[in-house]
Amino acid sequence: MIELLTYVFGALIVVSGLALVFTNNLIHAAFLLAFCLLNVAGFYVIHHANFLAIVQILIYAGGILILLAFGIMLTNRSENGKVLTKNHLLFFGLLCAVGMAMMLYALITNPKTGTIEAIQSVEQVTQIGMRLLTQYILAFELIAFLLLVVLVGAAFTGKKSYDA
Amino acid sequence: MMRDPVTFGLFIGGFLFCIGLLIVIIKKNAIFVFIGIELMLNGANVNLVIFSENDPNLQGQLMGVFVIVLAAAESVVGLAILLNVFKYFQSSNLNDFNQLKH
Repeated sequence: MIELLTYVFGALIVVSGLALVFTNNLIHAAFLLAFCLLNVAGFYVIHHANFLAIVQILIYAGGILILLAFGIMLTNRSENGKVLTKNHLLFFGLLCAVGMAMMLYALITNPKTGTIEAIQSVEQVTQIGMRLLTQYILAFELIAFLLLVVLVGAAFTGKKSYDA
Repeated sequence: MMRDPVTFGLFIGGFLFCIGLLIVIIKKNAIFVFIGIELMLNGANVNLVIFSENDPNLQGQLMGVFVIVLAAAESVVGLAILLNVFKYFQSSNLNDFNQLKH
């Protein structure tokens, strides 16, 4: 059952990713990204990362997508309601992506990389919380400060200035 | 080989990264490029989660939390800059951003 779900989520991720490449409609792309990220969250649950799955849904599906939707609505104007975009640099893009895919394939299928038994940690959220406030306290404080700087910077950059 | 869930997950992560790279390069709209960057960050995160499954210290997941926060910060600043650039050029096509003079 779990194995079946893994393949279902994987297939949905692949389908929505490919649809993202082939779509030209920006609104469709935003919703496809939401779908893709929710499936990634499902994938996290299967791989026993429940806390990260919830963070993924809250921040990505809740925060970044709303930002993207506002970005699309504020920056693109069209008469018929469809926001269409085009492609360029197709050859070099495909070259880079296929080359990267081949490199990753060679790396993953390398016989030196094996698998070991999964360890199911019981108190995952407790563990993550404890480690965030002890071992990773410096990174935690830095990221909190970064968020503050980003908030102030975005508010300052986005505000209406007199000359622009 | 694809029946092994760890290898399958690594393939999914690699797929997300490659698709993100492709979108970043070939799309003309700046917001599409943001979408591609989010996909690449998610591909990296999938890898972190899969390797952290076998780790009692959960280091991969902790790294994943930081990656998600950084993605949010990047997206906020990027969209704020894009709004200002759009005000000046009246376009979000990357090929139209061809001068730095204000």
